[in-house]
Amino acid sequence: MNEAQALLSLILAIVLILLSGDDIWRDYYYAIVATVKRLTATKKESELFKYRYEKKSSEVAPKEKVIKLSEIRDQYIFIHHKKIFSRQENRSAYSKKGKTVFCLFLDKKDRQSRSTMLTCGLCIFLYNALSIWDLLSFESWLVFAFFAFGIATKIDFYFAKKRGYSGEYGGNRFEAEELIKFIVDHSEKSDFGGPGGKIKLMPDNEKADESESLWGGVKDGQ
Amino acid sequence: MDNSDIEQFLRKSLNILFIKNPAGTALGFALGISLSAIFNFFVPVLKSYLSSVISWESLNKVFWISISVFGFNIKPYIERGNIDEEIINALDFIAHQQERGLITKEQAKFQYQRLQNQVVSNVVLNEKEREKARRINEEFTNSGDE
Repeated sequence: MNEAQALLSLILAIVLILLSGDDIWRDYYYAIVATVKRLTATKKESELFKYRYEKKSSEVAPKEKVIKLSEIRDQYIFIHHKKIFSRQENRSAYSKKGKTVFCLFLDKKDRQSRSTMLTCGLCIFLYNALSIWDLLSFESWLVFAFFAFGIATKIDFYFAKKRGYSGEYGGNRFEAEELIKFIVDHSEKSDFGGPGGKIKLMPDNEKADESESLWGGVKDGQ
Repeated sequence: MDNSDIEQFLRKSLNILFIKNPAGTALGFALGISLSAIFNFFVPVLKSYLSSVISWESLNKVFWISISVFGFNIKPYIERGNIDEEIINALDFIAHQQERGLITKEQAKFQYQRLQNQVVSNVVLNEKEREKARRINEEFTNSGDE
């Protein structure tokens, strides 16, 4: 590995890490600290952590709700919510609940893309370090592959966001299926009202007749 | 082909390639590199074992990265949520209508989005997502922007 390659790969890693955002860095830091604590804790200590965690979730959490979401780690979801609900050019046919669920979907996609970028950035750092220590041979294409993967997730999220803000999202089979899959994955798993013990996704026929027609008057052959 | 079609095409191709479980795939990269380095470190020791059956040097980093990415993606693939048959039929029906020219692109979009509304109104989100949705709605309403 020559100096130019090392410098270029470091720049690519830094770009990915900076694009991922500080809330994801914090998440990673807490996840690492929690894992280390859990692994190094004795049995007595782990019981104490559990007790503290339960106490925190029941007593401390309500006070934290006073902090505005837009000021803390959920700031991105707040931005998505604001844009989807208040933009004049949003031409989607989603109901209010549908828009909120779409906002949750975008937030998940956003966090997923940024954590992927951070992991890819750290991967490039790790690869560089291992190459310097002669444990691996350096190959430039691998660095570009990691970078491309990180950026591809960002591009995917960018288009989903753009289409969502303008109300275009969900207007084709691929996106409709994607959002429905998200809803199924994030729904209450104890809801077994559907056929074969599955989650009930569609209303009963009687209820469907009473409510507004799903097909908006369009029928086969018309 | 307008802008919307191009965006849709790009998203489809990106998702088909490797973005179904990006976080798992990225972790697979990291584990693959680490495993490769650990393996390279132990190659001199391993050479004395089964060297006639396996040539240890041929197991390069691409092999380890592939194995790790596969390992990180196999569980989400098995546990993926399957959509109800009724929904698949409804999606197929709309696509079929559009292909036959019975409905326009705009009408198809409207119907897809209404189908998603039907699904949303018939499921209960899990506790975590429900709480998140309640909090953002609450704050948004309180901020007076709505």
